[in-house]
Amino acid sequence: MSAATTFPKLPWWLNPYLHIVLAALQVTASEVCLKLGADQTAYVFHNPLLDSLGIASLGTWWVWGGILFYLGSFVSWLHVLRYIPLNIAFNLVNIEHVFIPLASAFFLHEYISPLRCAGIALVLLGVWVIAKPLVNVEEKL
Amino acid sequence: MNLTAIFLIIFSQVCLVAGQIWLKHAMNQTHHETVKRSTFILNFGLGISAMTLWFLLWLGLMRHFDLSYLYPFEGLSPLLMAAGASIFLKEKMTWRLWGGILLISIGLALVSAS
Repeated sequence: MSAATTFPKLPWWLNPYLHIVLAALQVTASEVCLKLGADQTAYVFHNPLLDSLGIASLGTWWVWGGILFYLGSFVSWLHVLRYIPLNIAFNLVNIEHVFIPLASAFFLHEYISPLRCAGIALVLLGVWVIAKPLVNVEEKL
Repeated sequence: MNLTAIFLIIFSQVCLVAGQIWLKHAMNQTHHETVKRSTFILNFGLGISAMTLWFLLWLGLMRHFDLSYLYPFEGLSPLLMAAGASIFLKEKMTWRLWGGILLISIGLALVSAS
């Protein structure tokens, strides 16, 4: 996994690991915004075609905010891909599957079942198993 | 769930993995002092196309199946990604990485099934 740390010295704000977290946080923010927007516009139209395409949701700022966050996460992700092997980056960014249920509970007041808690714990453990050697290498550098 | 549906689910995940691999190829190009513009555009375009196809397939599948039934299959993507990165990008795999991937896959399946 040493290939993960062969990137040149970058300023802290361009650190690819920081951008993995940023990408995950922006996807989380995007999902919350899209959900808020979709809820607000759920009963705006009664046209089946417009309903199924989700076009009605474009009428709220929440959805545009969600799209902006999603684009931001894509830019962060492209930066990550420049420096970190795909199999490490893709698995680390799965931390978003922990952030999204937590954000759903905190901002949308959704219920997190014990089974979901167990799944979140396993994802966290998996991310920790992959990330720990990388953190050790960074500390030595 | 019939064979066609299973094929489409697996194909959608393959599209996701292929898209990420092409994007990675494209971004690797940017490290070279003389970026081959045509190679970059080709890989970037293929990556975006494959990911668009994945998105549309996934949307289509969600119209026909319950989300709780469909989403556990997302747990396949870390495993497929590891295989793809290892074969096509020659990235090094370790037992620790495989262990982490397995935990994430099971965790994703549990989160989705809940």
